[in-house]
Amino acid sequence: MSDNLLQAYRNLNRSVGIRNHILILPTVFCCSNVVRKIERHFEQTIWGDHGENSVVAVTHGAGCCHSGFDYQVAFSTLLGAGSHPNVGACLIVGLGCGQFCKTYENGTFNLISRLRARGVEVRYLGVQAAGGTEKAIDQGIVLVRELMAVVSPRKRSECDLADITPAILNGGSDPTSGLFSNPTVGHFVDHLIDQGGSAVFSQTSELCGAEDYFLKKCASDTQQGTLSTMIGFYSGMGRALIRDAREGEPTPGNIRSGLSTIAEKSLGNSRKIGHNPKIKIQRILSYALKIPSHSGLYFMEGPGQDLLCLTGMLVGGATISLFTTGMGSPLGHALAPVIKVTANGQTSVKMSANIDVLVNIDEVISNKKTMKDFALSVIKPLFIAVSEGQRTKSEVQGQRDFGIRELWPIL
Amino acid sequence: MRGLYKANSEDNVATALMDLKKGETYPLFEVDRGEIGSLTVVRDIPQYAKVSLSELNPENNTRLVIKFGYPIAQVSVPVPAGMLLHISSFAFDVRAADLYVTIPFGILGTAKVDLKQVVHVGDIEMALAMKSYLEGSFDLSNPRTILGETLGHNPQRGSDIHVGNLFALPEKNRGNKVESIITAYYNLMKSQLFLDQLKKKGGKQK
Repeated sequence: MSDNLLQAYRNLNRSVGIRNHILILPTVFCCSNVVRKIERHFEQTIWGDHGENSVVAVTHGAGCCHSGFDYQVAFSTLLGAGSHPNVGACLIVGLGCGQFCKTYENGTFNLISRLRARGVEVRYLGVQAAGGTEKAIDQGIVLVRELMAVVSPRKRSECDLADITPAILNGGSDPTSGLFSNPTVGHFVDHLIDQGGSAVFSQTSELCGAEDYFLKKCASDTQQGTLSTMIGFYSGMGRALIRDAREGEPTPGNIRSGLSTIAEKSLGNSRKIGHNPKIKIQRILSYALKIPSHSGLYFMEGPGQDLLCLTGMLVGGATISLFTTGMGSPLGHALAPVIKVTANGQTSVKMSANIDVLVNIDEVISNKKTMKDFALSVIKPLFIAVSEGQRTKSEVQGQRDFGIRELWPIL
Repeated sequence: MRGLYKANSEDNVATALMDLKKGETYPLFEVDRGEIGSLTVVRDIPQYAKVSLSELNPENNTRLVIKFGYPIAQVSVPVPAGMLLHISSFAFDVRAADLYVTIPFGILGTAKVDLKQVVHVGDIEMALAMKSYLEGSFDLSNPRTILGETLGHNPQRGSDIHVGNLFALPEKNRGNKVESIITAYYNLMKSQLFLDQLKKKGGKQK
């Protein structure tokens, strides 16, 4: 269908990106200052028709002294970020002695060689080897200029709506989320998958209380078993730890806004993954692992916390995010644009600098414009426009969040 | 006028899309169907709160509250149609029983309550809870048995307590094994015992 065509970047590894950033990625927290200063040097440098591409630096608190599986999680997060479809080229900044600073061998945990194997144009800057912060910044600037020559000739070409995989999440829920904004996004997800696309959602903790619904939504018994185990782990962990904190789900803010139970909150959240009973959850994915390329709905295990679950889905290959909110959130992400959808009129006025779409409740309840109409006539065109370079509110605000999940103690 | 909104045709609750006044009649809307009728509310309802569309009773099969087509909670007391529905975390704590506590009632408002008296809050909820407490029908060794599984903890002096007419549904028995492992680990981390054990281990190695 012709209205599904859009202009995006085709990458060497066949993935389709909607941005063409140069990513400055530190392997370890102690390089944060260096990457921030290199980013600041290129603050005014933007390219692309809407000025949507730039030099993007991320910082995080990981990269050293991990224990348990956190080592793997941190590595796959860095690998997924460096090879993200929206990243045209990548500068890795390491200290020299961190867990991921290896440059000299072809091992499982050699970030540089793994990125090159994925067809990413990558440079390495070692802060210790460069001779300290100031020299590292100078060298970094030279390396970014080199990468600029790589990314600037890249042009958008014709792609399909189905090539763009959104990460679906919600945060700051209130009763309007479950009633209006989540179902509207759900209708768009149905449409996208119907057109041969994919979507991914996460936030395991927000499945608790609506287990029956989500288990029924799984495509096979195997996936059902996996999901059941994951929910069990989460609710067990939640009960064990949150009891002590004397605060659980739903949060005091949720209750004040009118949500009574975890089942009510989770069922409201469940509306965002679509309404078509024929569309099933194809696979239950581990956190930060690659999303399969064939069409369908996917679930990724992840925390309820917005930033970390979004990071997990994006490093898994999602290229854009649809974020529903009731009370409003400024969240943005370094790797992808985030489209904020709310149905709470007060929130859209109060937080107009952060909200992209308002679902008009009056039109929906009087049936003048159903939520499905709204998904196709408002969400879809915006989704395509953002994919073609139009900047979302979070991009305009320069909100470039990033984080690496840690479950185990740092030793 | 916005009135009330039903998210699924099978629901027995609707959501108030604006502040509703006691005794007034408001239009009732349903998803994809537009306006389907009207409802008179029996008390003031704050925006985005849930309102019962029919009588609900904990004693019979109208005990479950259905929203989005699925049960989300059960009622703790008989509830007429047009009534505000909200969770209760008002589980009695023996230690708090002889104290004055300030109770923010969630969306119901705030009040100071003397736990030795029967206090009418809102319309019914607190009165019933207090009455049965004073009549001794509460099992004080397990205060939550009467009011059901609540927000997961017993309130202490000064803590937030929400008063309402709903219980959460009983939690599925999942993750108990994980819970015990993590609780044990967490307690170990917190306790002095952990440090002592480390010292002992170090001693043996020497």
